[in-house]
Amino acid sequence: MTANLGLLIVAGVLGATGVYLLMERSLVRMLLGLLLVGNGVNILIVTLSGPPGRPPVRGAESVGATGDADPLAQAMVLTAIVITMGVAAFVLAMTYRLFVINRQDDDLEDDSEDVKLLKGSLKDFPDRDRSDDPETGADTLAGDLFDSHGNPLTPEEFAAAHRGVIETDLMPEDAAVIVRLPEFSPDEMPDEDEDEDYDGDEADGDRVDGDWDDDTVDLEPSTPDEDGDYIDEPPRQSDHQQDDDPHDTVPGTDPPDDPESPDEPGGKP
Amino acid sequence: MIPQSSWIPVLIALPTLVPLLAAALTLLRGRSPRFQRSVTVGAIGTALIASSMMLYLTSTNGPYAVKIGGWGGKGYPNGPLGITLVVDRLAALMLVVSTLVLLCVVVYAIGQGIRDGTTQQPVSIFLPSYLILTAGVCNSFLAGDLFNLYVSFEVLLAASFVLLTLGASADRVRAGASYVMVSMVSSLIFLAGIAFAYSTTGTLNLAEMAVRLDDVPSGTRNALFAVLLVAFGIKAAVFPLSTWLPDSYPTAPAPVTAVFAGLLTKVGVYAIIRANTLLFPGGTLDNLLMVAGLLTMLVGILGAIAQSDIKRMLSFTLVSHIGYMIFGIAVGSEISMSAAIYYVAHHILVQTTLFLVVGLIERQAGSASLRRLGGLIASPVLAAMYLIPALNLGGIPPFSGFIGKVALLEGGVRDGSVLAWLLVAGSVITSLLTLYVVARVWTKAFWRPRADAPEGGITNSTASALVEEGEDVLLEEREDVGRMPATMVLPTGAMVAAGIALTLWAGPIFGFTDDAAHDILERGPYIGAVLGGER
Repeated sequence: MTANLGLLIVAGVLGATGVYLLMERSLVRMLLGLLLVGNGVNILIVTLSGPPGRPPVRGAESVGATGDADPLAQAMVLTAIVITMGVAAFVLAMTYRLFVINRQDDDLEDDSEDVKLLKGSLKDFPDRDRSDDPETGADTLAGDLFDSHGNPLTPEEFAAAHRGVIETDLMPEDAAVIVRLPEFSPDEMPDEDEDEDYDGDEADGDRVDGDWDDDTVDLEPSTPDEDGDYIDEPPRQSDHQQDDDPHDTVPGTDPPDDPESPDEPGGKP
Repeated sequence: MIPQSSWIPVLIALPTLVPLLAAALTLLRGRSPRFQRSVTVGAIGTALIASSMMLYLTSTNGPYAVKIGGWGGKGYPNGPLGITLVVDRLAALMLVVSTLVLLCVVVYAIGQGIRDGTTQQPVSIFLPSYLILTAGVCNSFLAGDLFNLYVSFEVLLAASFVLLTLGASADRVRAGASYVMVSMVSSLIFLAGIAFAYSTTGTLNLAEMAVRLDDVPSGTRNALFAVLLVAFGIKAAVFPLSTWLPDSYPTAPAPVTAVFAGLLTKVGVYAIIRANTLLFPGGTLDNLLMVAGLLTMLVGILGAIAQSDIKRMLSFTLVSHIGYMIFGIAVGSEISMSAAIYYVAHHILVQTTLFLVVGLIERQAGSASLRRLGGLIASPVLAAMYLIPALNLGGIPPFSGFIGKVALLEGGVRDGSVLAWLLVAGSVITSLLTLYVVARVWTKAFWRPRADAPEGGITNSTASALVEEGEDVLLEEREDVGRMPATMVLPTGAMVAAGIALTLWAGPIFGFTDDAAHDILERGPYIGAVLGGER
């Protein structure tokens, strides 16, 4: 089979320019690219369907011509043209709509969720709860300050409900929260055990909240200095976590500022 | 001798014909919603019944072919001339599952009042577009020649463009534009592939092309296969070609996303199965497919972990689980192919169910973002309807997801090559990670108190049954938050039940998919039905 090189080159050029235009952000250019590629493929079909020959009727010859073109290829191209035209009409309608929405141009924006993910701070991670430690993302006891119906409890109610349990299943990193619960005098806290736990953890360089390593945490640009000392300092509220949270409707869920270390940066810089 | 009654050709054409006619009818009577709805449900119900009958016929008698208009029937020595529709066991199974899903979803959509989230949507075009989508999906399973397959792809794509951009909000136009462009590029690549195939073999009929391709040099065959594989791979969202999917699906209305997720990618998978078994047997590109399958699984599920919007998360798991099917297809033994077919059926049902449940969650709580949800356990029906398909997707033992995955693993282990073992390991990891993401939705959206959600104050993210009268709740974005109507719950429940049925009758169904896999791998029955060699 011989093919027409000129037509093949035309198809290739149409395809190449079309693909180039498809990479643009403007919807109109993308549409033009689509049409160019479509026409390139149509020319490809016509070229590849081969030279003209006898009509596709058994025993028939062309009268007055050397041969008939392949009707099947023509039918395919015709169908493809109609389909491309329909889609072009749809894209034009969409372009107009986009222009109405944007009022400036017909450029496509990035997907907002993608952008959010790219910027990706720890705060936006789907695992987060409101009660999580703002720096490390670890669970805190504040997350337990809800009754079985999901209603928020005040620290007093929580302490009353959990007075019996609290000493046995006390998690070391939650001690800071417990310290802040009003009813608990420091005498009640199991100080000795805590210290042992912390020492062990620090020696390993491995914190209890192993899921959240420091690299992830450091996405936050203005993280206060970390000395890793978890005994004296409760988890701090990072600055903009506090400022930027306008939906703070539930009392008692944010880890409150530490009353024992007033010299910490705490809330406002 | 196989009984050839005169009604069988009509039966095979019904799943395409009836929805198309119904689409025309519903368009004409756009102002009477009740008429539209009954016609739509009737048409898809008819397609379901016809598909079930085809399932019975093919399971007892093997493949059937019908030549539309009688062109190229018996007595024409030059082979098939016109459009051929073929139904074999694989196509019949796909048809039944698809029409069942389409029926459940349309009832759900009607129950939702067709609007989703806002009252600014046109409703009179939804059902006609949906019917055209139905016709396109059914016809692509039935198509017996390559160009007819292309046309049915275009039919379902054109309908899906309309459905995806319903209401034309800024989000949907953005998502729709990239979806339209990617789909059209894939179609054009497919069209180029058709041109190459036609020029190579001089025919478009799949059966005839399969026979003629056996004589084509292997280099040309591989090149042809590769072009078609790229086209189908974009449709099926196989890894390097999958990035369009999570960007475009989640913005659509819930029932639309559900039916897209369930069916449109599976049409691509079906086309890959056909190309890999009928046109290009011998598995020359199997290694490529295996690598693509592995990457699809892993990259997809890793993407899912980072998402806080449940719809987006599910879109990523959708991509990820396409990898399982590619795995089965690539291994290519009879047991793997059978497992892949079973897995396609399972995944259509489960993925659609999950998206429908997300629609219910949005209905209840006004959001599908894990940052806003909480306390949904207050609605036990919703919780059960989420938990069962979610565990099913994750592959927890009693469910069909487990059965399908075990069969796929068995096929991989029997294959024994290094790549197959890698895929076995990859699919186990993917399964675990899938469990992790669906369990996270469970702990965050269902267990966690709403007050503990980072943005819990923004939406009414407690179950609306629990909202006390007079309580002020900030509602954002959605206008239709409220109790779930029974017409939304029942179809979802039916889909959950269908997923469980796939588990309960896994034995007979696997027997059927074994036969289907045997048929398509042997090729003889299909080719014989079309070319009349064996009848």
